[in-house]
Amino acid sequence: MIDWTVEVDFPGLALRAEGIVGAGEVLGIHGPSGSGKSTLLRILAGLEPGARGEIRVHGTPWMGRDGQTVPAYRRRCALVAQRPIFFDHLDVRDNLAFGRRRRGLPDDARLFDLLLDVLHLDDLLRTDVTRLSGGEMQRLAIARALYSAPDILLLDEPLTGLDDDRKQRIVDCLLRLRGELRTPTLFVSHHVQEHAWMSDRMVFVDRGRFSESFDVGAALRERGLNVLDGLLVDDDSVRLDVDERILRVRERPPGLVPGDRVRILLPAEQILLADHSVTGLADQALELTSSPTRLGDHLEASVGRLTLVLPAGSRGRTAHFNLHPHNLRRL
Amino acid sequence: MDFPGLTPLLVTAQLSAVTTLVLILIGTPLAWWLSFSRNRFRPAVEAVVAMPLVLPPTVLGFYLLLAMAPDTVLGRGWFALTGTTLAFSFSGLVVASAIYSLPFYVQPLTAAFSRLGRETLETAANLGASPTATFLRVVLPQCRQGFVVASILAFAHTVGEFGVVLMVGGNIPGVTRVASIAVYDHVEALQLTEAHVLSAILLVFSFIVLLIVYVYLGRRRAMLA
Repeated sequence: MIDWTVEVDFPGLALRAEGIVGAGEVLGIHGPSGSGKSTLLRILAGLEPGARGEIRVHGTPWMGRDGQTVPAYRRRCALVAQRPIFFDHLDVRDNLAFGRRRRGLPDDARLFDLLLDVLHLDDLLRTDVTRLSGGEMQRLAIARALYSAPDILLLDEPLTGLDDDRKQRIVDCLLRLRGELRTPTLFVSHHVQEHAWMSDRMVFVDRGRFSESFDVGAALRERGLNVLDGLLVDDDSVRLDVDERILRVRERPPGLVPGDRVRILLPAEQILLADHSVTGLADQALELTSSPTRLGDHLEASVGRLTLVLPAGSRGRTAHFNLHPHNLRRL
Repeated sequence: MDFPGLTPLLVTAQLSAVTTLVLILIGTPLAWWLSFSRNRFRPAVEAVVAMPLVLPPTVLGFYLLLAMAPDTVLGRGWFALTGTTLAFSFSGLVVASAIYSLPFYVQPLTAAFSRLGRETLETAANLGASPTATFLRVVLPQCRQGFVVASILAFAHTVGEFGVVLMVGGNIPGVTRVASIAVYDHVEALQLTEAHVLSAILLVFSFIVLLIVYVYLGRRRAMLA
């Protein structure tokens, strides 16, 4: 667990942030470029000498009000930068193991193999680090970070510059590793979609001001996206966490098996509101239990304990929609 | 010694070796500071380091001679420390050569450190490498080329100096009489054979050193391409 109350002043940026991330949790940090997202990660990593405040990790202070700070190299926190840097006098294997060796930890064959397997690095072990592609560099950087057995994982736009297919693959890797390693993670991105894939809670940043954190479902409803977490119980149904309701899926998404935790991403525009249930119109017909109210550019209404964001300008009592494989993500 | 005429070469070799060693010890931290400091006086320090490139060696030698006089802070301090004077001694020559060759060592190394970049150091620190480990395991191997080139240039440039050593060293045979001055003396005394031998050795030496540098640089470039 990590918690922080920090501030730093640069010309044009006065950063004030506080927050907390627990084991196995991903805190998404969302905001425009230059708003201070990366700077917060650098402060936590001990790379901003001008920062003040408090940082505690598992109760141990990394930075205190008295000005005491733990130097960067003694903080077990791994930062995956947007453009990771490797040491080109070392091969891929030695780059991957660099952090773990510097921290004096013995090799861990099981973790090493897990990282190679999940991040598809087997073929790269004999490659020259100067010849890696963007996606390969990101995967190697993530492996290097996690192999150093960090207390905290800091991801700074790790998906930037990758095509959608590669993004998906890396997100899958990260989610699998999160399940295995449960490292508290801060995930910086300015793409809502990426937060919808990755984050449990979200913080919004604007010119150095960090908001309080929101549940990712509540945060993304404001942006017109329903985020529903649940369990894939069999080939074509998901049991939602919030009310144990079963939702039908058109077909099982490739790569998922019953028993997987899944996240449903359903844009408001994919929901049709009608006055009453129309048989055959859609797989799902959920009767609203509250009147729709305005939420930003959209409408919001309850279905029992479930809250849905609905397209603006529509009227009716029943929400109709279908779930396709592309609406589902492994969690 | 069997060939007394070659003694100046020996002095030159000793002087260059000791000067290069001194520069590695002093110039390396200086180059580091110039690469990574955000101090506002950095440009001034850079200018001072580059001064020997522009100043006539005699001017530099003149000021160094004044600074080494027994009644100055430097001269007195040196005398208190060693019981000898700095001017007209081998140690004085080393001090003068180190200052004169400083840019030839510091500038290539500063460039190498800057190419490495602050991000590389941050990456190493983030992965748990202490400053010492970072220097030994990342900076040294990554900047090996910079260190080699800087050291060779410093050595070779010290071999080639004339004006400063003439002013500061005083041309004492076997102590401060280096090869370049010996050549001058031989020519003045019309001992052209001796001048020929020393000159030819220096010529071949300089060519070989530069050849080594360029072959080394060329191979590194080919490896990177």
